[in-house]
Amino acid sequence: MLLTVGDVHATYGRFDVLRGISVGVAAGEIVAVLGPNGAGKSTLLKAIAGFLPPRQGSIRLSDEEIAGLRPSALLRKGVVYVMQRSSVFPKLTILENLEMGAYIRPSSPEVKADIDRVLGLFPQLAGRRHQRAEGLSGGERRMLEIGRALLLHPKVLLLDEPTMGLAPLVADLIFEKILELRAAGTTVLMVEQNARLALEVSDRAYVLEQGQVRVEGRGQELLTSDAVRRAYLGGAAPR
Amino acid sequence: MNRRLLVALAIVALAVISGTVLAQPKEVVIGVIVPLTGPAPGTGQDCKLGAEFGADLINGGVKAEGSGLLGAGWNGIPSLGGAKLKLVFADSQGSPEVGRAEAERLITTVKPSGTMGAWHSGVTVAIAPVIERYRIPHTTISTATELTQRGFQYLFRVGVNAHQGGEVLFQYLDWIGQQGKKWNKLGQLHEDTAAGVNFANAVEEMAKARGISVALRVPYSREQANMDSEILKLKSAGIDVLVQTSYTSDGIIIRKTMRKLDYAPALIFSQGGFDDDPKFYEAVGDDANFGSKRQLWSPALSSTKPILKAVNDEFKRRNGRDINDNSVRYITMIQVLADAMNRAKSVESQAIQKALVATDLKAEQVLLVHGVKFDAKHDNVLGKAMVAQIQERQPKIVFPPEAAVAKPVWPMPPWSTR
Amino acid sequence: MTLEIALQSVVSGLMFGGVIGLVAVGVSLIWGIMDLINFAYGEYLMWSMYLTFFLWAGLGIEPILTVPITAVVLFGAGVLTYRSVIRPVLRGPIFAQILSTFGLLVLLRYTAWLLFRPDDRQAQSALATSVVVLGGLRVSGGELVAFAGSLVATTALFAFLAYTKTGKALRALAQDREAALALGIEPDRLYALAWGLSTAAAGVAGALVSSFMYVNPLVGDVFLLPAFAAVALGGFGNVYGAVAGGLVIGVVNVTGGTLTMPKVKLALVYLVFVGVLFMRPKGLWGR
Repeated sequence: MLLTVGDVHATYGRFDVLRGISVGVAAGEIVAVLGPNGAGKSTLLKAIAGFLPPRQGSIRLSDEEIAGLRPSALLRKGVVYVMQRSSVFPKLTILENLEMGAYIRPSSPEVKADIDRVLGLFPQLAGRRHQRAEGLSGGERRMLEIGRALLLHPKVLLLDEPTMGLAPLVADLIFEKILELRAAGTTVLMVEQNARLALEVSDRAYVLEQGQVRVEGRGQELLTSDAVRRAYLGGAAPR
Repeated sequence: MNRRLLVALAIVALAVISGTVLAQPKEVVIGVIVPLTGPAPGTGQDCKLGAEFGADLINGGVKAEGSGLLGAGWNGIPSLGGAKLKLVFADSQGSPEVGRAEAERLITTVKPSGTMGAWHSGVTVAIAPVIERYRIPHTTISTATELTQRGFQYLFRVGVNAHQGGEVLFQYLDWIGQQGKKWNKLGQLHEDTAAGVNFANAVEEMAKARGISVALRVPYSREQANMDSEILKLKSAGIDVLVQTSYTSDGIIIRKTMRKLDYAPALIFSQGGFDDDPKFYEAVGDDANFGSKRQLWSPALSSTKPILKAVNDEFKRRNGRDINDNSVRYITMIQVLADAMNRAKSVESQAIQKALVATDLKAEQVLLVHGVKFDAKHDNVLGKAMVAQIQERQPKIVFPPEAAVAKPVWPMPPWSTR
Repeated sequence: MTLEIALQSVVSGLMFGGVIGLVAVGVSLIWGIMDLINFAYGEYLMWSMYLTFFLWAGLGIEPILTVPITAVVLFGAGVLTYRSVIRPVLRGPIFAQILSTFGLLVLLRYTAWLLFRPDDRQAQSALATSVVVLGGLRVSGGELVAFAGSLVATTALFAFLAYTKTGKALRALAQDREAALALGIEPDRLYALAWGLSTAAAGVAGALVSSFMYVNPLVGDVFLLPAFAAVALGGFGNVYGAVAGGLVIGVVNVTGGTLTMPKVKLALVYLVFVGVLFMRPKGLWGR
């Protein structure tokens, strides 16, 4: 396993949000985390990304213990996090946002080349690189955030609800990009509320409930599992 | 009645009793409240030097026998068995609040037989009720008119009041007119605390009584970095006789701004303040020249009265500077208090107060030119001023003609020629 | 009121406003980046003025030439302040933050009071007394240099914020602290830097105004109150707007005072301030 979360407990104020959670992600996988509101999905990513140090338990990257490290240290080890809400810097230009993505890397021609490569990946952004990010649509902001994350050559990309609030067509586009990333060798652990779509693109998935893993399995299996359908997919006809 | 007041009264009572029991004290304490720090420290220093010199004169340290000056040949206060004057200074910092607290502290801790100060009119206005409450005979040189309008029994003004200080301006303007010199508009620029406001009011009243209108009055608050609008206002109104009341720092900014904005009225007349402070001269150099002020003393004058010259020389030997308007008035205030104590044959406050009321010091007895005699309100009826113009960075008396040592330069030369 | 006088008052106002602008920039920088009002800002300016005065009095250094020294010393003071006073309360309630900068004000002001007494002191500068005349408009050498110095200092700060990676990171941090953190932008070092830059601006301003303004322990208010108005006018936290706000405040102060009565010039400044806040709560150039 590239990333191993073992028996992690985490607390928000007086609330135990993660209660002994264990998750593993192998190199090159796309793993989805599903579950109802309040199940602890986002908290799990925050714990891994260094925003909420676990109260107990271990988080390992390959063989190295990384629980409790600061976000900046985790970035240097290749754990990159894209948060749920929009996190572009609205008053910075698209180019400046990307430069901030490479903040921890020393300025160099390689960084410039990487930025050009990312802009090549997202042509919608390339033509407007000198415009402020506040003018971007929701989907474009997501692309910018993912592009920003790519500049750190992540070993593990943590995506928290990458399609939240996006129109279905745009959401499809984002998932397309995620698949492209995986094809390029990036490992992805993502939280999604659009379970059906998430399961379609992911290799494996975990379903959380009340801070613990309830179900674990391959994406396609879970998509057809009755229990999962009833509990989390609402039993509705496929879209 | 609150506790503090009771305690304070008890202390005063004790002081009074001990004063009468020890009928022949070895020393008499005088409290001196002056701005030793704050916006006018140079001024406070001059006052302190004056008071110290005056006390030494009374105590026999200044040799001036045969001069006719009060205190010459004394060795302490004669009627009190040669009791020596002891000065205790308190720093008002130029602030009414601090001055009031310091006055209270001084009175309750060192129990002075008399007090003087506080130079700044605004501070004197604040401490006067405290002085009155404790019944401490007090002399002041502050000019604010209101000080003698409130019926204080223990406060006596040795210097001139705002009217007496302003009077000389109009006499001077009449005289200048007779010399065939012209001017058009009278305007005022003054800081907005008691000294500035009172003097400006007095000048306005006196102008009105003479049928002269004050074309523009520009009050300002002292703490600011830029005075361009004040000067531009005066310049655009064409004010060519400017009555200015400023303390040191603001006075410096104003003079520099006048040069910058090329505003040179025919006459700048002040009631002292900034242009008594050595720091003003240090800061503006020759730009201090040709300003005029009401003057009560002049080192140049002392050359016409030999004894005063000798006293000034001694002062200069000790302090490295001539007696100026501030030091001369503090010397005189010490003389006035010592004279009253001598006549009272007592340091009991009511006795001193009675003696002060009867003060009648002739021009020859005091360093101030015209003598000291109080009216019913305790203003000095002999308080009169002269006009000095700053020439070569020294105040030179230019009016009245009988006292003049220099000819006035009128109008003040334009900045472009300086 | 002639046209010449009116024009002169505008020029005088701009000269004065340049310095107010620099002070406003220092306040605005911390406000923009940390959402924190530094009530003690005027006290840093005051300490810089004392430093300038004593460098002049002790070593005879012309006030204007002390700029590099005061900038560096005040930068250090800002970093030190951040580390010792601000960082501990940064995660605390807003009330604790306000109280801490207010506490700083009291500490810095009355330390100066104890050490230097409330005396007015002023360095004598040949530059300050020189007069520059251009097309009938007149400014003093000291003001002109202070104005130019303010523009240079603010331009340098703008360039730093706009074009350097660290400057961009400061702006990013100001806009979204959590997002910045997720990209490895560590707030602590940058906050310390922001404090250093902000107080360095006070250091520069202190040296610049010393050629024409006296210093005493209360002098900070003389510059800080108009600067607060400039900050609000320019849009809270908008560093660029603060400079423009400073220039407007300067002109309102001097031209307004000349056209009406000088006594009301500060009142005019606050009238404009309140008026703008009433009509545009985010400030004239607020976002």
